[in-house]
Amino acid sequence: MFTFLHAADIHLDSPLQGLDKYDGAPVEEIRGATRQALRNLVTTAIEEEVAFVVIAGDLYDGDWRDFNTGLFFVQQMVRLKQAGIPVFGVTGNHDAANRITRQLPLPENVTFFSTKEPETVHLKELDVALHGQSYAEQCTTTDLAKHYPAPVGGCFNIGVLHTSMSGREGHGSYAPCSEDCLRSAGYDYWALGHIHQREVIEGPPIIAYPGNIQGRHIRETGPKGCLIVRVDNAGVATTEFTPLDVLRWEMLQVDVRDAFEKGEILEHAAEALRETVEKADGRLLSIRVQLVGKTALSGMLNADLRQFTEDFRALALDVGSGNLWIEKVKNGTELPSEKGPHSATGEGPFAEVDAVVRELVELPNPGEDLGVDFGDLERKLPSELSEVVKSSDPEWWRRVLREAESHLVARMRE
Amino acid sequence: MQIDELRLSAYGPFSDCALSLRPGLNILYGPNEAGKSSALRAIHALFFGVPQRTPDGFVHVYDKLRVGGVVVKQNGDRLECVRRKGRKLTLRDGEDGKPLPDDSLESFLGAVDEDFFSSVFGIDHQRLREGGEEVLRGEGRVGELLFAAGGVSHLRDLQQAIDGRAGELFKPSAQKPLINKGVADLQGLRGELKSLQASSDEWKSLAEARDHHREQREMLTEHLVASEANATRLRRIQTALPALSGWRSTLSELEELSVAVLLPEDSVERHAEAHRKLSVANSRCKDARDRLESIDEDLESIDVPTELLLERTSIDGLYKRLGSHETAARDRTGLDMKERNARQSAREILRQLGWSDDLEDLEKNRVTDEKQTLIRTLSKKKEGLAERLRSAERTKKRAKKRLEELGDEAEAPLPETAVQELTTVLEDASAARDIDDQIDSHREEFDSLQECAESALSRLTLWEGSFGDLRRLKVPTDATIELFEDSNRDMEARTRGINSQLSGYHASKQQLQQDLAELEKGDTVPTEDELEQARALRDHGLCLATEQLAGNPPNTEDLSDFASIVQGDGEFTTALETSVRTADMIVDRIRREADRVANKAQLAAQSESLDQQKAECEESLNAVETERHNQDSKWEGRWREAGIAPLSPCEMKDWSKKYAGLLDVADKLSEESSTLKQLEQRRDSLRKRLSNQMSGVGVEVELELKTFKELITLGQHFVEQVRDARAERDQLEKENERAKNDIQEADRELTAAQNDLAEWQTTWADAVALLRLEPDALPEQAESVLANMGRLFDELAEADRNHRRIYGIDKTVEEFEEDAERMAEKVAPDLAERSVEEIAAQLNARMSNARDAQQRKNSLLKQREEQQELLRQAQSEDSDANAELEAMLKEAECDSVEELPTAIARSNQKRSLQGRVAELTSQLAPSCGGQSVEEFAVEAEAVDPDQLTPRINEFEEDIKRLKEERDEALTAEQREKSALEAYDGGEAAANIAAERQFLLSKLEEDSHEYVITRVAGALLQKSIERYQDRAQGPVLKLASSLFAELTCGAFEGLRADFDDSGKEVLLGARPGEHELLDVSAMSEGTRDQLYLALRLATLEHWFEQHEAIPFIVDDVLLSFDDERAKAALNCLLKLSQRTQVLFFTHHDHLVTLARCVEESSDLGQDLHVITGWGCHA
Repeated sequence: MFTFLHAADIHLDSPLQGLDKYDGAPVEEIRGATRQALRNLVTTAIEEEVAFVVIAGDLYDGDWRDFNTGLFFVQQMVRLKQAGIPVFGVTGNHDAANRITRQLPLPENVTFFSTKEPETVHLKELDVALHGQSYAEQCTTTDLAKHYPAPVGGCFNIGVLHTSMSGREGHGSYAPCSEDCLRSAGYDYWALGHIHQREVIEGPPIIAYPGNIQGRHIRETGPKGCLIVRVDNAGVATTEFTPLDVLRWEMLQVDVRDAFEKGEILEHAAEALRETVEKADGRLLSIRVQLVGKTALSGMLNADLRQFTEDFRALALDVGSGNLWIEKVKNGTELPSEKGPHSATGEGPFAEVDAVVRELVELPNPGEDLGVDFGDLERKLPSELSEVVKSSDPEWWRRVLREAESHLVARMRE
Repeated sequence: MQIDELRLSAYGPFSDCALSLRPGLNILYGPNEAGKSSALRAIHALFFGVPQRTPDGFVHVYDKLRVGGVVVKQNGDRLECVRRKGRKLTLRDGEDGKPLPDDSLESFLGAVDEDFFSSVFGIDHQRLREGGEEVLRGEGRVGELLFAAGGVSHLRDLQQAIDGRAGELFKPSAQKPLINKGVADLQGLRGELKSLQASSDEWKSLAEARDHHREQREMLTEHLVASEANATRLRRIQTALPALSGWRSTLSELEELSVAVLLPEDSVERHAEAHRKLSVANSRCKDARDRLESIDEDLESIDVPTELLLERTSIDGLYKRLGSHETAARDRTGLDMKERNARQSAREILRQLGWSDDLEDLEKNRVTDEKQTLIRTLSKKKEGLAERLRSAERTKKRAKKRLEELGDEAEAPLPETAVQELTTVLEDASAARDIDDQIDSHREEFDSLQECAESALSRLTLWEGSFGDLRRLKVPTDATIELFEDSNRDMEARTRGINSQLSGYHASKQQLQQDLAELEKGDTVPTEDELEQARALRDHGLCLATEQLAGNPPNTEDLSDFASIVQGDGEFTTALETSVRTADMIVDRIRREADRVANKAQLAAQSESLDQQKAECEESLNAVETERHNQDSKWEGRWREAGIAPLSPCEMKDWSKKYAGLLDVADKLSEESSTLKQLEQRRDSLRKRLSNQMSGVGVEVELELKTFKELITLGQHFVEQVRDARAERDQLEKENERAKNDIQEADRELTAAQNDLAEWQTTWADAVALLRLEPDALPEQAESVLANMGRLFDELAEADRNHRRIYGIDKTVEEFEEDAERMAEKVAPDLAERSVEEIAAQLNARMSNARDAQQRKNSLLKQREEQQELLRQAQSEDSDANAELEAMLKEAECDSVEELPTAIARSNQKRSLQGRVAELTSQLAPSCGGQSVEEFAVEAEAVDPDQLTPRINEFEEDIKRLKEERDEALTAEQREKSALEAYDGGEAAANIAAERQFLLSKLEEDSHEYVITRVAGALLQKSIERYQDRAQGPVLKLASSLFAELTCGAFEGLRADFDDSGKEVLLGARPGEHELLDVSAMSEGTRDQLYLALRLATLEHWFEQHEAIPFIVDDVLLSFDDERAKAALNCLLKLSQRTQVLFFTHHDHLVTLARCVEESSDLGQDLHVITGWGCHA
């Protein structure tokens, strides 16, 4: 009977995205979150006295250049070495693209599988056989699993593979393979990596993605960590998720229907925030607040969402006692009236605005008609923000026009 | 839609206030503080709900707030509703009972929402002023003016805010705006990040260089070590050469002494020591022997007296007793003297006692202690007895004297009067002491009662007499009176009923007659009777005519009668004709006026029936009257016996009550009078008894003149006197008796005392006989004898004591002498003749000498033993020294003691050589480099000494060079190592990357906001332009004429023109198109009017296509002069043709102006002034 730790997608030093540094935000507390998560991983392995650690690829971001990041990884591996815990891993698409991988001198307890062909490591004292193949290059689009070696008889066989399997949403398709193929390989456990969302397909064989160990933006919500796999004498494995994350991302929908005043919205939200904070066990939280429901205040929110966001963050300071980061506040509320805001005034200024927008959205280039040119801005903005201003995209214009209309109408009514 | 009624049930200061509103212009006039603003808010609340935080909850709590109303649509739909505060179901039906759907009002408001309503359908002074300002700030731009008047209240501010915000966020070529700055910051961070990121390749080349230098360093170190070893070895050899030669020569010398025995190092000392010890031992032996001889001689010279020493204890004891023996001899003399003195004193006392007894025989005369006590007790008792006797005699004497004194007083006479009876009478009398007062008060009561009663009696009507007569008067009981009263009342009721029936009949009758008169108005209605009569008359005429025709001419009288009956007089023929005609006419009328006839007949029938009923009523009335008559006579009969003519039962009931009261008074009066009488009788009897008793005991005063109370006091006084005298007498008798008793008692005491004395005398005589005294001896004598006897026996005892001590001393002396003589005889016969004292002293001296001799002998014996010991020691030392020498000989393998010194010298020389070899070996050891000296010597001797120095120098140069090279390699290695150490796995670069993300996020938000703001601004501008295109024509036309009207013709209208920037602006046209005025050139008031004109025009334009909505105006005319205010009111009056206008004001002159305007207007009655709705605190 033995235990091992299965993790993947460490993305060390990958920065947290989408956080606007506001006064009172816990900036220092979230610094080095991915590093702390890796420390937590090592600590967990030592405390659980695992027989070995499996890392199924993506140690760093592909375009990250700082060698210190690699050295930090080594430092942590040395801690495992001192505890007598070996580490087995494959490199993933990000690692293949990164120079650090090739230069980094790894301590002897760390073994990465070859990039040339699938390999097998046989741990005789445990009766465990690990099979794996690393990525030679980022664009590995062949089915690696197909060529994995046959299982070693009398052993607990583990396949280590960085793969998108048969298409997982939101992730690039790398080393694709089918679930059936993995099942038929005759292994006991497939330690996969690449997909950041945790997924455990019960077996045998168990096919498991542990997810990444630290969420980096609002699309990676919920607890993040590793799997502790316990294998009993009969060779039956059970997995147990252990959170390692430092900062947890959560999406919080707050229903503010029938609210009459801003204070009421804040009260509703404070209540919801408080519940979420309680569930997080004192962990740092980054929360996106999505206001929904029909309320007469919808217009007010449209008119000045930034001010409201500030109010909200002030409230969060109070509720979260420094452990809470309000990532964004999104206004998804609607006006209570069914008939919309301007039907009454077919001839009035409001109706005019509505009519203008209705015409504009039909045009291929509304900016031209409006006399608005965002070219200067587009050229200035860095490539990371290329999605923010896309004045050549009619769909983008449609969104912008609707939002600008809500904003304008709300302000005209003030 | 219009508001028919506004109910301010509970809102702001209002409670249950309802306003009836009409179509047209409603002027709601109320003074300040009337709650105008609350009323305005109430209308708003009615339409759109009560705001969550309303200022109108100061009188009514939030959940009691209510505003209601009745609204009517143009199509006639009507809704009566009440609005309460809340979130849901706030609209309720007119009774505030059931909730209405929240959207019930929506169809009335068209689709006007809250914001639109307040911005378009409401205007107040402030809004007007802002509008005027906006006209100025918008520089008269047509589009903006129209847009603003269309319900955007702060257009200019909004435009500026949007443009300003966009400018804050981004400008294509600037540095300060947020986005520009963010982009620059981001660039900066990118540079910083690059500089902080550690390159993998650099790290790798550094690591390789480090490894290379380490290898180099290690190799150089190896070479260095080898060279240093060689140099060191040569230097060693160079240093060791001199020592090596010495080492070799010493080794050969040692070889020669190889046979010599190596003795211990201390052999010389041991040899000398042995010699010394031998000689010392010899001299000590001799010494000891000499001393022993001398001691033995001394011993022989000493003699010790052994016998004497055996008696040592006895002789010492004797000598000690010598001292006490001498003391006792001295004491004996003193004691002898004392004995003799005591005996002398005893003889003296004996003489004093007068006794002749011998001293030795006195003991039998000793009086025992018991007897002595008896005598002394008796002595004391004697005095007590004598005192008792004397006291008894004194008592007796005193008692006798008192008896004599009392004797006279007790003889005085006692008053023998019996006052027993008097006391009883007095008790009764004093119980009734205040009887006089009682009598007086009762009399007063009686008098006042009597007065009362008599006046009441005199007031009693219908009857006269005394009280006695009154009591005898027989009047009917109350029950009887009530019976009569009831039946009277009953009769009256009946009479009243009948009368009212009768008057009903009268009225009916009258009505009937009126009806009849009406029926016969102008013309009587013919009746059957009339017809009958007319026919009879006619028939009679016809008979007469027939008779005449038949030739029987009737009397002319008959004929003229007939004529006179028919028509007064005239001809028969005409009369006949008339009668026939009359009868016919009646028939005709009857036939023609059958209805009237029938009516008349019915009326007649009714009249008849009424008459009949009336008659019946009158009959019953009479019956009642008769009954009443009977009743009255019965009533009077009841009172007749009492001789009273009664009034009505009702009155008599009252009379009877008074009568009963009088009877009560009479009863009380007689009761009071009897009480008075009783009291007086009782007082008189008591008085009589008292006087009798008092005169019986001889109180002679004029009793008749005293009052009852005085009498009692007198009697009581007398009784007290009698009682006092008697008490005094009793006291005297008691004292007399007591004196007699005292005398008897004293006698008894006297006898007892005398007896006791006699008894004492006998005992005393026996007791004092012992003292050889006469029986009549005084106690004092006895006491004196007793004292002397005591002293006598004391002296005798003293003499005996001394005598006994003398005897003891004599005995001790005797024993001492015997012992001393015995001892002398035993050990010193030469002393036998001496005195015992001398013997004792001499023996003691001899004993002391004997002790000294023995002591000296003992000391000499001890010295001899010591010397013998010393001798033994000296002999043993001598043999030890000899043994040592023997051992040394053996060791040195010598045969004689004489050879020994040579052997020792050779041994020492060998040792010294060996030491030198060892020394040189150790001196050479450092140079040997771990080899043995022998090996080293062989090696060193192989080297050519002359080449040593040049070879050493060669090696040293090598060393120097190698060291330099190695240090170089080490430095390089260290440098690379520390460079690598800078790669510490630190997170500085990661932190910058994180910082970049913060900036990116901020930049994203700013960019988004910029996009939205810019687009919103552009949308606004485009909408304004489009709105202008659409509304300009109709609205401007309306506004132009309204403006002319509002300015009272100061302007002819409005004209659109283009300003310098090509924008279309509004200008005011002066009459006759002479002058166009820019808005900035207009006065403030005129701009306000321009804005008002635009607002009213927009409204009118709107109403052309929509359901009318009331226009709420709140005191906008404050800054208008009267003329323009009138003009404005006129405009509002015109507008009110289209929609209901509510004009709130608290300026009465506006009301007056409004009335003026209405009068001069041809618009009909559309002005309604509503006052008195205000709410005053």
